[in-house]
Amino acid sequence: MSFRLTRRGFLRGASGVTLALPLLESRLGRAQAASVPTRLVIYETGEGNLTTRWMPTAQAGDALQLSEMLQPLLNHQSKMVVISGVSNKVAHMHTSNDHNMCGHTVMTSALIDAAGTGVFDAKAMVQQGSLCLGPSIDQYLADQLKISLPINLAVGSAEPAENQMWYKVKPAGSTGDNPVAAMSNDPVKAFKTYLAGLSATAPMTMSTRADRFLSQRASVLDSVWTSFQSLNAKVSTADRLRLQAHADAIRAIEQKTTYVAPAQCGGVTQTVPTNWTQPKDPNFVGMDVQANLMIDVMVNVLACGANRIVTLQDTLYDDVKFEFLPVGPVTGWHAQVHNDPTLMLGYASNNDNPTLKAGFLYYASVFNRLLDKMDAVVEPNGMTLLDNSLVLWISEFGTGQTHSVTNLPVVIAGGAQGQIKTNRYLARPNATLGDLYTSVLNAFGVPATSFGYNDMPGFNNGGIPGLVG
Amino acid sequence: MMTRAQIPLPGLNALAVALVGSVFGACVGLVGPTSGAPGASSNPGTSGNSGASGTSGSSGVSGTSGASGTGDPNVLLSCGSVPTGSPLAVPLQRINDTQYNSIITELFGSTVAAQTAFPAPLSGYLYSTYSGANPMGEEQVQAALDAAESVAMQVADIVPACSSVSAETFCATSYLTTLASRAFRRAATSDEMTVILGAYTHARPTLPYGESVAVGVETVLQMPQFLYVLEAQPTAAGAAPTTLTGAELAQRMALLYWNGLPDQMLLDAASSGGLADPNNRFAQAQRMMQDPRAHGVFTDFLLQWMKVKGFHADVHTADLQAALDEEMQRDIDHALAANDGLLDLIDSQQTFVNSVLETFYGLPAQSAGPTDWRQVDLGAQQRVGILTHPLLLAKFAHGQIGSPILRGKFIRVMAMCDDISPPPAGAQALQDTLTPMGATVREQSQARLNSPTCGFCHKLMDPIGFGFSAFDGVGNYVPTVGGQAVDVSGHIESTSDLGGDFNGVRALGDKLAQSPKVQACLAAQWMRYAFGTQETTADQCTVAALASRFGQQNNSLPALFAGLSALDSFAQRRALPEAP
Repeated sequence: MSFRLTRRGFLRGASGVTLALPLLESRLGRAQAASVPTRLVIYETGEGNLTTRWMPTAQAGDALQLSEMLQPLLNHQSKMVVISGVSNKVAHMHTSNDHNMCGHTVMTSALIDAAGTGVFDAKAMVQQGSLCLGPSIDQYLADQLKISLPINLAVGSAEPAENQMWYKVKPAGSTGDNPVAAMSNDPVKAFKTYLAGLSATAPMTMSTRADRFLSQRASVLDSVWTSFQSLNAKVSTADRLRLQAHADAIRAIEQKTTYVAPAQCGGVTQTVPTNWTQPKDPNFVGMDVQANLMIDVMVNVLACGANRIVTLQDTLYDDVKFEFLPVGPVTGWHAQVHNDPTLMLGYASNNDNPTLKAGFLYYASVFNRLLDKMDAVVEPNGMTLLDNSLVLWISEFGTGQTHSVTNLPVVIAGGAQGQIKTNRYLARPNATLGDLYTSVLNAFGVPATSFGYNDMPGFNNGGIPGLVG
Repeated sequence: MMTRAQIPLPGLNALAVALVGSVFGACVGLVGPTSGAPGASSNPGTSGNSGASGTSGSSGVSGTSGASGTGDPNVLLSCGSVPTGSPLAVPLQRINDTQYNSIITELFGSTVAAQTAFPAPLSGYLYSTYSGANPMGEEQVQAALDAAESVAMQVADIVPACSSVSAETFCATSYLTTLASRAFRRAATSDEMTVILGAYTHARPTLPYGESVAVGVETVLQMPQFLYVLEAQPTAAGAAPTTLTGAELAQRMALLYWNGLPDQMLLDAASSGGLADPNNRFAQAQRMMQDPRAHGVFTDFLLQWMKVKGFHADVHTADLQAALDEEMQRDIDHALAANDGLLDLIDSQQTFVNSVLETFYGLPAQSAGPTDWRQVDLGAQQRVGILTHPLLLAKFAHGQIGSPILRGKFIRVMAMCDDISPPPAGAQALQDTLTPMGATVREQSQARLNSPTCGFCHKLMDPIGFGFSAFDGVGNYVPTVGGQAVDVSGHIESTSDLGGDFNGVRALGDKLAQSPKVQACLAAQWMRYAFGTQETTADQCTVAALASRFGQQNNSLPALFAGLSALDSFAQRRALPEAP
């Protein structure tokens, strides 16, 4: 893999003497910059965008000038590439409502197994839980890189639903299909599953002895509880009652000992979220908190080396409340996206609807928060986690109002360790999802020329011209 | 059978109040027996009187006072000329904080420090050792967990390294088996080792070897086999008594006299079967009592018996408090070393003073300072053993004013082992109607005694407390007020040898120090402390047996303490009554 370092990254890597290095050394105890793997992060939001307000104005030499809907990302402009013209051509080969067929295919560019037979059936109705016949880009890349399965996180529901990208993939060395990927929409569970006890270097030296003993508490108490059993037959009734009360207290304490080891990376300790209660209502309030917690989990997963590929899908697209925005709580978000006359509120077009602007700008701010967090992590090679990653923000539609599958709002950030030249706007009117993911694979050194459905002309053109390299 | 006076259960208090109102004579009784079964005595003080040729100083005067209403059934129990007692029913005892600390040091050396393993025992029990004062609810379990974890984290650094990774299971098993067998005061069973090694095995994949072994240690320190004094026992009420094994006897003795683990000599005596012989146990006990830890146990017992353990009086300055605490310790030390310890403890004119106490007692200044102590004779009236120690005088007082109720109750309950029911509801309100504002303490008492409702019980307390009238609530000796001698005439309402009038604490002390009832009471108190439970009528002859040994040894306190282990009863258990 050839490295095309950004100027900043190059200077760090080449000279080994920058302002950031002493901090790096103190954190990681290394005198020499080390190599780190490139990461893939995908953030997916529903209902497309307000295309005319999202589309950047073309500048000379592919220069990027952020559009109105991308203004929240201003701080990261120099590390971004905005791409217009990408189409999801495979979606409309199905019989379905648009949410199902577009949502299911946006990360796969593959046909959907609507009939559940493993064979494409154009007449079969795509169901919410239908799987695609090909893998999603995150799964496929993991398979190609021979690394563990990606981590899939969700804001909103994690149940099979219209906007979700379900897949099957046969990883290298596997004799059978993987089960459907697990997706977690619970930040606490996600932390416990992917982060608890992890550290960026050797686990034993990073956490404290107190933490390690704490991690054994439940086990110790369980052992102690067990040791009461042999006494029951040996003592009098009165003593047995006393011992029983003791044993009960041990069980009670044990059940309160829901210890989750912190994760420690780069000198920073992350503990399991304590301010989160998993909601039961799929259209719940609190998606902002959930998204923030999920981003924390994602960034730590990447920084801790728990995984190289993480996706975050915001599966809320219907009755999104946005109760935390000045325009919230929103009534009929989906209907407003569709310019429903009963909710027009006097606007000539939904492009003028302040609620829609606020909602889509919120998604941009979430993406911005993700980039902020990633850019704050300095890695052993002297670059930030963001620099070392390819971060993609995409939606299943172009214009939400019309469910268009052209001009999907595609933003790439991070540059994948210099594989992608940033601070550019690429207007690529003929590009496809297959092209986008082909380029993603190329950025990771996978020599692909197409991705997803490719049985007919026009679905793949060998990548997004000029994106990688 | 629980005493009604000391067990703080609301239901029992209500019961006691009901009994006061309905059962004539319910105020008094050693342990409040209600069965009234023939041959069952509630009063160990009288037990040696029926032809007790082997007891010293038994001069039975039972029935002499003949006062009706004392409630002293005075039914003599025949325990024989040489009482041997009967097997004990000992409720499950948990090791206490002192024992926990001592054992941790014995197991791991002085470099490993134990934090407080248990919250303070519940108050309201006669002794902190009582089983009920030491429950294991969530608060206590959490504290024990924290303490065990703290110890284990230190032990992780001293676990011997293992020669190779492949030998780790063997190394851990060996270390933990040895440790558990010491901690449990007997060989650990294979089932117990399975539990302990399970915790080790769980930890090992994620923790270093030393820490993983320490997780096994943490488990040991929370297991009931460590925390409780477990002994083979009859598991059903009415089942035949069991005889303690050598290891169980060694455990009892080590925890009792040392608050710790058996040493090699005790273990050797246990394994050879020698501890089955009462004479060998007595010899071992005498050896063990030379250890400073034994001294600590007896001091703790006596301070709790006197109700001044950890007591600080508001009327005493910090300097005076410190001096009084040390004076008390020196008094106890002197009594422990004395031939007639009981006499020395409660009747001596001697005590110890430093510069602070010279001032307090009005003695000429001879001491060089607070650390310069000397023995002094305070005179027959000002000093009557610990009875006139300022700590007790202040304890049984309300501020500056001594309380005849509390002082009398102390003598009645702690020295005579009679039982006093708690005051009925509304007692204080009733008292307020008896006397006008400004009535003297004596006038208030007299009014109580004249009231049928109050006098019923107060005649057992206040008249004894009158003897202390020359001592104020600070502990000052004030024999005259306004040129008039203070009235110190008192009376003990009792059918026992103690019954009758007396004048002043000196006369009271002389009575108590010679009384078989007090002798037997102290024996009962030591048993209560040692076994953490109130004796029942079934234990009367055991108390008598211990009192007999105590008396035969001229009321020497070490003879009392060591004598307990020499009882046949010490080596046996009878079944506990079924739980309610």
